Amino acid sequence: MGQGVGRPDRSKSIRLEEYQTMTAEEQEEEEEEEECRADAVEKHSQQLKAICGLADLKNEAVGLYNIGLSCCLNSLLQVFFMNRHFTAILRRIKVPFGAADQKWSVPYQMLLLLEEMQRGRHEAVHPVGLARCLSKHEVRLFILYDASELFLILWNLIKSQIINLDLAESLAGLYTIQLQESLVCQKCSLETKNSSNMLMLPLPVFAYDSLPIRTLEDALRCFFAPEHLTGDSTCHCERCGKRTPCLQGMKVTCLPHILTLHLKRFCSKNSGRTQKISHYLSFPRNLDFNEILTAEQYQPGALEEGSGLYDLFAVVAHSGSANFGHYCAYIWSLTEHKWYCFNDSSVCQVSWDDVRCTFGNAGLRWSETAYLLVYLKKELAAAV
Amino acid sequence: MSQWQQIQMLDSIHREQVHRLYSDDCLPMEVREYLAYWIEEQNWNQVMQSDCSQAYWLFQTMLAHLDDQLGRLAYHAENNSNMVLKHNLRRSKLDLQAKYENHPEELANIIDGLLREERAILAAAATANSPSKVEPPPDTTVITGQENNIEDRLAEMRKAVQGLKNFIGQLEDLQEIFDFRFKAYKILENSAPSDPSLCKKLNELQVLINNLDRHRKDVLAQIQALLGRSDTLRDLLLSELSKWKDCQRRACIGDVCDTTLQQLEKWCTGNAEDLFHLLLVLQYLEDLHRKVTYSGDPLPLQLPQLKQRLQEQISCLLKSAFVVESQPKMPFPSRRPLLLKTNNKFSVRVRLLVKLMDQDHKMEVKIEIDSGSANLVGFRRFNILPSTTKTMVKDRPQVQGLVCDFSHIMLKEQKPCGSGKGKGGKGASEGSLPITEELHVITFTLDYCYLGLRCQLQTSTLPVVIFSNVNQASSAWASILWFNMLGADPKNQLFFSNPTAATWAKLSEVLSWQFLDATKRGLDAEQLKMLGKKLCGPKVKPQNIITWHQFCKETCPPGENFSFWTWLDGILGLIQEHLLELWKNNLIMGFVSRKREKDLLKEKREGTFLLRFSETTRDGGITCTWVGYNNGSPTFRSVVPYTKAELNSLALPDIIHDYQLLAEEDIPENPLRFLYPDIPRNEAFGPYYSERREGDLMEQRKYLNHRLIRVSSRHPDEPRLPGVNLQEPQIPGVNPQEPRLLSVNPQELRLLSMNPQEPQLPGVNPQEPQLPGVNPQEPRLLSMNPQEPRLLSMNPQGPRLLSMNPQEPQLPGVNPQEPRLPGVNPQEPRLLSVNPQEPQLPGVNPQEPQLPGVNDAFPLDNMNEVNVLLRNVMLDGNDPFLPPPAEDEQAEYHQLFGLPHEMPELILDDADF
Repeated sequence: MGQGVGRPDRSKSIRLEEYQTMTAEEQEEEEEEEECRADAVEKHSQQLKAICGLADLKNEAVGLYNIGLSCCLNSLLQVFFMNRHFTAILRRIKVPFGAADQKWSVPYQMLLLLEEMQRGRHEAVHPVGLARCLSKHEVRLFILYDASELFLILWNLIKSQIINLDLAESLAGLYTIQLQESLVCQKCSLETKNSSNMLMLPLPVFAYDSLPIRTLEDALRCFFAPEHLTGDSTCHCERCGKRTPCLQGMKVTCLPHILTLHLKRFCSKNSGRTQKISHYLSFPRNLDFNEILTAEQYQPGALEEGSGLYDLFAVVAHSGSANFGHYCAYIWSLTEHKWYCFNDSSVCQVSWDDVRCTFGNAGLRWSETAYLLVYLKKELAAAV
Repeated sequence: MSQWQQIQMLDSIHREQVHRLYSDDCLPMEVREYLAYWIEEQNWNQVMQSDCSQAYWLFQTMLAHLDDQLGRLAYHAENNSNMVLKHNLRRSKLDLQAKYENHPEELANIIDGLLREERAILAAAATANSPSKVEPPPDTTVITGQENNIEDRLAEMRKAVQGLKNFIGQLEDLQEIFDFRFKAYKILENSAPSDPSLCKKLNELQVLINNLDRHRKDVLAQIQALLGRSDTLRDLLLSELSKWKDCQRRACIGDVCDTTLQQLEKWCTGNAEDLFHLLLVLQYLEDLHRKVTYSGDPLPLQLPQLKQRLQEQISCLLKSAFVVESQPKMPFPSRRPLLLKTNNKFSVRVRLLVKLMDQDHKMEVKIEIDSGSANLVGFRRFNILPSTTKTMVKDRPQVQGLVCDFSHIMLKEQKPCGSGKGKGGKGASEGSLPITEELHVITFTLDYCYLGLRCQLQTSTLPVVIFSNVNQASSAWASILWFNMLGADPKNQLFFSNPTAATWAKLSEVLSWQFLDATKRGLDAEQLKMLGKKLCGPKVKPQNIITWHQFCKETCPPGENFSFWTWLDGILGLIQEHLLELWKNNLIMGFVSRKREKDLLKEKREGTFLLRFSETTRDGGITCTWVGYNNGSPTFRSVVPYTKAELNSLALPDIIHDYQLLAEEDIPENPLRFLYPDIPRNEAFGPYYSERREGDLMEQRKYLNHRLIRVSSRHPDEPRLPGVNLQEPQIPGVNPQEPRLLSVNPQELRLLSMNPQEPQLPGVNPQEPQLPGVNPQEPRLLSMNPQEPRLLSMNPQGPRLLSMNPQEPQLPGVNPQEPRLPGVNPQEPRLLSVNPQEPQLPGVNPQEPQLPGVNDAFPLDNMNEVNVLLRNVMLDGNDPFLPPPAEDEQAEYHQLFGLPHEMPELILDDADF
């Protein structure tokens, strides 16, 4: 896959890629066996090398040119590409046969782009092929997308176009958050349960009392807080046969390996004008769901391995106003253990201080504020 | 250090990798070595992407540099020691020339690759080696501290801005080339529309414009990245600034900390300079855009946003960089800062830490008091005299930097109209604060203008307390202490309508600072413990809570007529006036309870004494207690405390030296022999005795000299210590005034004369004005208590409190609309739209519109038909810095160019040229 597009002069890296794809599949089984064992760091990196091959280990941060307001797309692509759990899946996709199919397939175009980036000849690459492919799927250039919206579009396109069902399943498993929603009628206490899957949690930035929320933990708590539905928002109760006030609660049944959180920083006012909320909201480098949610709200099912510990992996930050702005991505390099900031074609190594800068500040309406946060489950981040 | 130098410092394993890198002879290593700096300075990546003329030029420059090197080698070495080297270098040069003469861009490509590989090796080496390595490569700087962090970031930013300027230069070149060729093409097109070379020329133009477009996008991405980094730098600077402010606040109440501003000024100025340079870069880019633009040009979309963001950043920095360097202070009568007396001169200095100003813009600072605080009901109002504006000046001979000194200003109280005086009539002051708890704030406003950026900067002093009578100074200072100790919000002028309590840990620290500041000697743990017990009872702990009322209102000890603070401040005054040297040299134990005093002394030799501050004397009193033994059991005696009145006439060391206890049948003796623990009296106090002339009997003198001494005598009827209860010699509740068996009679001042012939001659010595007839006890009684009457009328729990919202004091600048966004609908059912099977777009929610997005003027349904529209090429390129006003009629050219990699057929519209 992808060998055809490589230039012959870099035969070395192409060989590595082949090697990599083969070993990655072999490793899949081994991985399951070894999962429980806590290995020393030395061993992890060995394993890492075996799984990802040198191509991913060298996984240098490479920029993507902005080809027509594509900063949002670029930022999201970088978040995908720097995550080797995602690229491990991407590298195993079946290559479509015909040229037209190839041009149509989003995952294949992403793979091509990834390989072009990692061939390492340039500091930045034009994502033209992918952009062209996306435009076939109604994702256009010169439109400024909302990052959360575009992320969902992209993800769904990728998943639906992966032909191998197993792969599609593991992709879904990697990202899907399973929730259970319950409605308890306040009249007859009939409880209706409803499970749902989400790709990201849209977190409020204001609490119910309209006070700004200051930390991500509080935003999560607020999201999961039970809510009394009264007045206009009452629900129909089957037993009572009418709309009754009820208590709406939510709990997590399964947290994925890659947890995407969306801070709802864009709010519309009465007039319908969208406004950006830039107040301070801090997020930690490590999240522990056992601490944030009550035992009732967080009941890790049998499917879920490990505890609810997460490490921050990426921050997609937005600067500017609601109508027009710029996206950039702060990503923790899993291979180099450093933070990088991706601003289209400009890539630079940064520190946690820089990432903290995206907490926001009510007085600075134009500066960068975190918009999407991606956390990786701890075991995963350490082991694979 | 250049990259090549770092390479040479690598360990053998990594150096081996470098050798491998250079093994295929694409670029001989000696060339890399000899031209190390030059090679690293060129932007090879850039060259690779632009046209080959630049690559050719670089190639030729490189050969020229090599020739230079060869010449230098020949010059330096007549003895031919480096003949081999010379030979190799010459051969390398010829090789290079032969190999890349026709493809200079290939060489650029190779060098770019090599440099990147080198960097990768360096980075790998850096991660392999522990940070103990002497010189880490620049990519992995080990951050040792915030200071280094800021310095590094400043340097990095300066470099980036410089790089950006160079990059803009290249951009301009590209643009001019395009401009020129485009004009040539237009002329040709108009004169010979059927020329077959037109098509080829158009293709060339397309390549140029594509390249230009990429450069513009690159420059924008770089600026975005730079703004992100400078955001961080600004945050770091602001946190340093707030640390400084905290230091200043603590220094005001006596802490010793560094409040110099040089470092911060350097940083802020450096950062501001870079940001202003960046602003110029943006303006320059605007000019470039005005000259050449095309469809899909990123400049018009992104520049305004970048500019907004940058301006916001600059004004944020400026606003925090305007600080009060020295808080208001009177030279007289009190050296304590933040205490102002009406009609007394005081001084205050403000500084702008960004040392940048336009010479032709006069920077006037306006000073105001209590501006915009209409809610201060019952507060006195003041005018500032003589003038309320002053010009800020840069780098005066005495003071560096942009400062403004208000040095001879004073406050005059506005007399309220109508009747009543002082606090605007008694009726209005119902429930208001006493004047020593009224906090006033002095505000400075500066209209700043630099390089076209205008903003209004404002800064305020810490709250000051304004009094009109000197005897209010002590309680005014208590307010300042309390407020600053708690680090309350400096804007909260009504702090004392509901003052927060302090922990003993905090208060004890601040109390010690008071002594440290006034006397150069703080309080030790034992002394603080005694004070703590006084305030919080016998089980004092650091987390004990002390209220403002306890500190400065309640009488302490109960039953006396003064508060803890009044007592302590009295002692401070006493030490400063009379006991400074003794206190500094730790001869005064001072704060020790009577019980503990006895515990300490009972183990000691007879005649061991210590000095202790009286707990029952209002304006500070000091006493000494000594131990004596009677049949093996210790007895303790203390003398009635000496106050300022007595010490005015006789210094304490002299009192101690000459002290005598008169007893009926004994000869007078000085019971004070050893200062606790066991220093002989004269050894401890010898250096402080006032100079005395011993009577020389041989000399014929008119008068013999005399001196005053203190004597205590027992009453004759007093039993001579028979009833000393050996079991409990110390009675904690003893009242020292009351002459019990332990206490000694009230002092008597006696004039002892050496000459028996000469009877006591009181008042003989004009140097010593204090007449024995004046009872030293009496003046104390006369001193009135100015605090008292006011205290009665005060109501600290006034109803005014209601107007303050304690919930959110920290969001002053917030857009009032912001916190309450009706768009956030708490009722909104959150998950209903999700399909449980497949996670789909939970974010698409009609309540929360996504970014509307810039609507596409040029939809790209099919990339093969993507067009780049060429529009409005203004042909005036002579004066890049001062572009002519945009011409009204904007020529429109609809020219259809493909995006990179896709070159469609061109349809040209020559309507307007």
